[in-house]
Amino acid sequence: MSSHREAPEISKDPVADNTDTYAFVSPDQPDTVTLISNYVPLEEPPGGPNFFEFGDDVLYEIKVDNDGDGLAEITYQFRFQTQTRNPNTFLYNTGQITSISSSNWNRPQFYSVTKVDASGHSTVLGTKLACPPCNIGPRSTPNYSTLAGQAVHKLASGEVVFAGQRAEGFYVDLGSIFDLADLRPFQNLHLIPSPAAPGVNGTQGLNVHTIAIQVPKKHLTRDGSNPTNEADPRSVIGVWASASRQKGSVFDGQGNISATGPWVQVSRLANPLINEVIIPLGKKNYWNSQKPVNDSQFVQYYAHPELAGLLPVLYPGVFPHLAGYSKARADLEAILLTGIPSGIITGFQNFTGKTQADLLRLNMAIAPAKNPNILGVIGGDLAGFPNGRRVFDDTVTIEIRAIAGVTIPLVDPSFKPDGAASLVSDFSPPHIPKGVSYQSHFPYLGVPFGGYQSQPHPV
Amino acid sequence: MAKVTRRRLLKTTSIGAATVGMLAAAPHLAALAAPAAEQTPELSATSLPGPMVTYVRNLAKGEVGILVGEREIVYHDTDLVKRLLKATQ
Repeated sequence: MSSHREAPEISKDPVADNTDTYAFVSPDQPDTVTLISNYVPLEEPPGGPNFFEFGDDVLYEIKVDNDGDGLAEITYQFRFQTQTRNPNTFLYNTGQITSISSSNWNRPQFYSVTKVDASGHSTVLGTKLACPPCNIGPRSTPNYSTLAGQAVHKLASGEVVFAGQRAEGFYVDLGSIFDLADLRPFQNLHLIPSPAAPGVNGTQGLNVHTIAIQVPKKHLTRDGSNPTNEADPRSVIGVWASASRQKGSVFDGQGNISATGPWVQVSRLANPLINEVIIPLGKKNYWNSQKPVNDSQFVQYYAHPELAGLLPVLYPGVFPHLAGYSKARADLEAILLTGIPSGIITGFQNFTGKTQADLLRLNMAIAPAKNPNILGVIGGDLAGFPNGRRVFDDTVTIEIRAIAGVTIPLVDPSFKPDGAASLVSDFSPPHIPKGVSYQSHFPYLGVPFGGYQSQPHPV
Repeated sequence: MAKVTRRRLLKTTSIGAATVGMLAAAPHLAALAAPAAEQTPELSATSLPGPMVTYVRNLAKGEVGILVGEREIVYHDTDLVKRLLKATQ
């Protein structure tokens, strides 16, 4: 998965598990950028009576580097507070919830938004902002789309925010990929073959918890300018998200837990699938604890990704050129750690300088695509991943193909990719699987699946 | 993390007073309390922003961490660490 349950420790702490991070120029508000960070992986919609929520004891942050130093010049912090209105019932809701202020919602959750600048100065942008409840079912949360729409808040400082449950927008054939890197459409070519078959979306019907903030572009550039020139370094920002917990916890033996001490980062995410696939098991917890500015310590895993060595073994005879390529993968280092410099792809750059840091790099001067291609830049759509990341981008196919070698010629024209490298995908041809939906407006991720409406698993 | 000496911590912060107070308040740990001259008696006037947790960060260096609020204070006191160890035996 993008970063769902990707490391041993964070897989035990879903409330703090950062699953996907997105950054894109808002298609319907192109003078703004939307930043999204998802948490709480693989929510089964009927999962009550204690339905999913953010952690009051977690510090959620979305960070922006706008000068290429790998450090955050802008941080948006989100802190949550949950109430129990009636402690004498087991019910999540004591009647229908027809508005987010309904007293029938027994576990309302509220949050604050704080902006921290490069010098550490904090400005509170909003307080007591209401989340929507989870999508329970037609009796408890009728007209859910309208209900959740009430939880889109416009802040006086110009940002728009939303925090709450959404439909999972990341699609991937989990069941096959984690079965020795099988890709169902190509499994007839696998070392342990079986007839080719259509991909199966492993996240189908599941929800996540989303923190989304839409920010005027001028708030994000280093000098407050409006980014209009794609070649201008000021047009590029680096984005990542994180979750932190306080260093100490005290269980008082009476059902209460108190936290104390400084915040310690337990999860982080920018480019999808990095800690999932690039970073080895013994380093995953450590990777989650580190700041992007220190990512040069992990460069060997980007330069010689394990999966690039496995593909020729698991698909015998399919990737001979990749098998023979022993150079460091400067293409992956550029795409994932520094951005792509000018002069490599016509009309595009998202280079942030020599500091190696795993960031989603977004060139804000590139307008949203009128006809987006889910393969992003490798599909000829410069507004998609790895120029930031949109909610619908097929990052699994993009990264598998990149690791398989399609992006090596960007930095090494002598290399000819294997024919299969530009074909592999977990869904063939690449497409958004049936049942995955998005919104054309903020917060762009789709209405969450309802608990009552869900039929989670086939009999 | 702030680095302070034990004496400075105890003399200048209410946290220090509370630390000593907590240790002294536990009968089993009474032996760990700092010398009387260094104690500040006004515990009733002291409040904490939540639990305070003190732990030994580095036994060999006599390094103690104090978690309080959103801070960690690193505190060096070999004698205190020895007394803590003794209390566990």
